[in-house]
Parts: sequence; C-alpha cells; structure tokens
Amino acid sequence: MHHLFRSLAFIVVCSLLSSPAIAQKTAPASAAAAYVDSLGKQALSAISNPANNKEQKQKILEKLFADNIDFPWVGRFVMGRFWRQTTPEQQARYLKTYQNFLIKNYTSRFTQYTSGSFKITGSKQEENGEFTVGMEIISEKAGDPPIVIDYKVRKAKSSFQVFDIVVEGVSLINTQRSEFSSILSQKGVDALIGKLEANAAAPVKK
Amino acid sequence: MRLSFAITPIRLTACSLLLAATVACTTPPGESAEYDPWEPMNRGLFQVNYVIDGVVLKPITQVYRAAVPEVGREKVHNFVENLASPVTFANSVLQGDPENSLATLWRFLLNSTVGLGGLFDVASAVGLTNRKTDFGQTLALYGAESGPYLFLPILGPSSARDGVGRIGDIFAYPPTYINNTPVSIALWATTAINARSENYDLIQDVYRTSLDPYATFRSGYVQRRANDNKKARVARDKAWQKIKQQ
Repeated sequence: MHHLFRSLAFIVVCSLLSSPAIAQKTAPASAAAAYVDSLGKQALSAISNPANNKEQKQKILEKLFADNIDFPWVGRFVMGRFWRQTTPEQQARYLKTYQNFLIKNYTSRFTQYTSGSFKITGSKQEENGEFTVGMEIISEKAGDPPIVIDYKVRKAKSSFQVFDIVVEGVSLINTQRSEFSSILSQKGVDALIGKLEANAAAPVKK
Repeated sequence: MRLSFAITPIRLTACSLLLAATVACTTPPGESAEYDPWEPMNRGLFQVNYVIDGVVLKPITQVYRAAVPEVGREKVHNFVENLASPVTFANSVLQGDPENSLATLWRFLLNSTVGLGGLFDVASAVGLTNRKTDFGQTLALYGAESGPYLFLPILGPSSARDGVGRIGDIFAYPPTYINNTPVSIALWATTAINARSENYDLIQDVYRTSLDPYATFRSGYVQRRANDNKKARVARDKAWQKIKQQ
C-alpha cells in the first residue's frame, strides 16, 4: 500500500512538473503515464466543453489523433505481409487514406459524449522502448466495472506516440489487421484503398 | 410444450456443430490470426443472422429502445442479470472460485428479495460486484482450447468450446425449468431483446466503421474472450492466495 502511494505521488509530481524532458530522464515509465494522462485530459476537456458543438469537438479530436498516433507504423502493421507486395505509390496512397479512415471513425465515436472520468492505473516499460500505460474509464452506472484500456506508446522525437489502443483485451491494430486480411487476400490492395476511401468519404452518421 | 421450447437453443447449437463438422474438412485454412477453419459456413450463418436480425430482432429492439426509457431498460437489465446468476454461481463453483461463488450467491439472494425479483441491483450498492462467468469459461479454465471459431445466428460469435458451454449453461438457467410456455417464452424473449439492446451501439458502430464486419466481430470476440478467461483465472488465484494468507 505504501509503495502504491509512493508511485502515485510520483506520477502526480511528474505531471505537475509538466516538463517531459526532465521526467523522461528520471523515470521513462512515469513520463509515458503522464503523456497518456495529458492525452486523456485534452480529449475530455474537448468533449466536456459546452461551448463546443459536435463539429468543433470532432476537429479538436482529429488534431489530437493526428498528432499522437503513429499512423505510418500502424498502417503498415495492419497490412501485415501484404505490405511488401505493394508498390511505394500504393503504399503512400494507402497510408493517406488509412489515416483519414481511422481518424474519422474514431473521433466520431467520442463526439457523442459530454462527460466522463478516467484514471491512470499504471505504466510498464516493455522491450524496444515501448510502454504500456493502463487506464480505467469509470462507468457511469454504479456497480458496473470500469472499462480497462491499455495504451501502447513509444518514444517519439519530443514526446511519445501511441501505436495501439487495447480495450478490454481487444487490440485496435490486431482487429484492424484481421478486418483487412480477407479483403487483401481476395481482392488486393487497390480494392482495400477503394473501400477505405469510400468509408472515409461517407458522412458521419449518428 | 415446455421442453420443446427450452430445447430450441440446444438444437440450434447442435445443428450448427454438426453442420460445422461436415464443412470443416472441405475448406482451406483462413488468412487471419484467428483459427477459423469453418469460415465459409460461419460467413453463411453470419448472413443468415443479418437477415433474421434485420427482420425480427432489430426492429423489436428499436421499438423497445424507443418505448422504454433508460431507467426502465436498466431495470430489465438488472432482472435479466439476476435471472442468469445461477449460471454464474454454478460455474464459479466448478471453477473453484470461492470469492465469486459467494458473491454471486449473496447477489442472487439479496437482489431476488430486497431487490424485488432482481429489478434493483442492491447487491452492487453494498459492494458485491457482478462478475459473470459461463461454462465455456469453466472449460477454458480446465484447460480446453477454444477450438474453431463458430458464428451462431441470434447468439452471435462463439467457438466450438463456447458453443458446448452454451449447451451446458442451459441447465443452470432457471427459465429452462419453468413449466409454463407463455412465461418461459416471455423470459427468453426478454433475455434476447435485452442482449440485443445492450449491444445495439456496438453493432451499429461495427457496421458503420468496419470494411469486413464478420472479421471485426470474430477478432473482437476471440481477443475479448481470451482476456476474460485470463481475468477469471487471475481473480480465482488471487482469492485463494488471500485465503491461504489468513
């Protein structure tokens, strides 16, 4: 228990310092936690601000996603073995469309919310400079267990970048890879790009 | 009459399993990370489900969601959860999880009485949280592999192991033993509509965002199930650790 308080206090101190450079030198795992915490707070302040309408919320969230997700890596991962079978031209087109597709579909999910609360439950250093930061979204209904989300992040130039979001054990990138695989194996990359473009261009439905 | 209705889900699962077994030998392995050798049959059943759902379950659920306010739907949810708690209790016992067995037993006793037949989840208010489990999970904790992925119309994503688990769970589910057809139909229907309603947004979301909904549901189910099985094992082992320390 004592230990728990100490590490919590440490995370709090780190986020108060709010200087990623200092935090990273002292304890990278805490810096990763502070990074995810700040992402959560930015998203929450965007959706809970009554001055923002849905379009404004969407815009802020889109920027947050675009800045913080490692799209080139994620895009390449979800293509799996098919990545090597595509031309550089196809890859460029695919990555651009994939980013639009993911941003649109994920931000539209958040814009319907107006409140929420979360807490960071822990941060663990993995191999290859990767970190897993645990978050719990507190459920609105009493008695319902919190939703457990793991953010997989790694160091980027100035701060960190997210490369996977795992909700209750369901990994975004693994699910997406599975979703694309039969389209890729049966119809090819151009068909996938076409479908991504069509989906990203379709209006956001409620 | 009673039996014929109660047996329907069993027959459904048994048929699917049988059908699955015959298709299994003729299809090449899939491309995905999930083990889905019955993919052609599963995709067929997925389409069948899409049609049935679109004609029956989804429209009824839409009416239900429009007519019953969220407070009322929460009562229905509580009622259905309470009705299913013998399933959780039996499986917690089979899994050797003393904590969840006792918590579930107390939940059932409290909610059925003070909670007016389960409408009010008073047990959660006193800290007895609901952690559902089922026979598929029991089999997993006994070491059974999930086997091939299996899509069941109405019931949704499953696996060979969890399909067998569904059959087992029917025996611990109280409506199976109700000797009155209209009541039993009403209870099964309530369960089905409540489940469809709870997954309503998720299903909409997948159809809106996924390029291959079949694959998205499959992948989500397989990953979620593995995660839940792990959590159940961890919780049980922790409970025993606590007991040993005392």
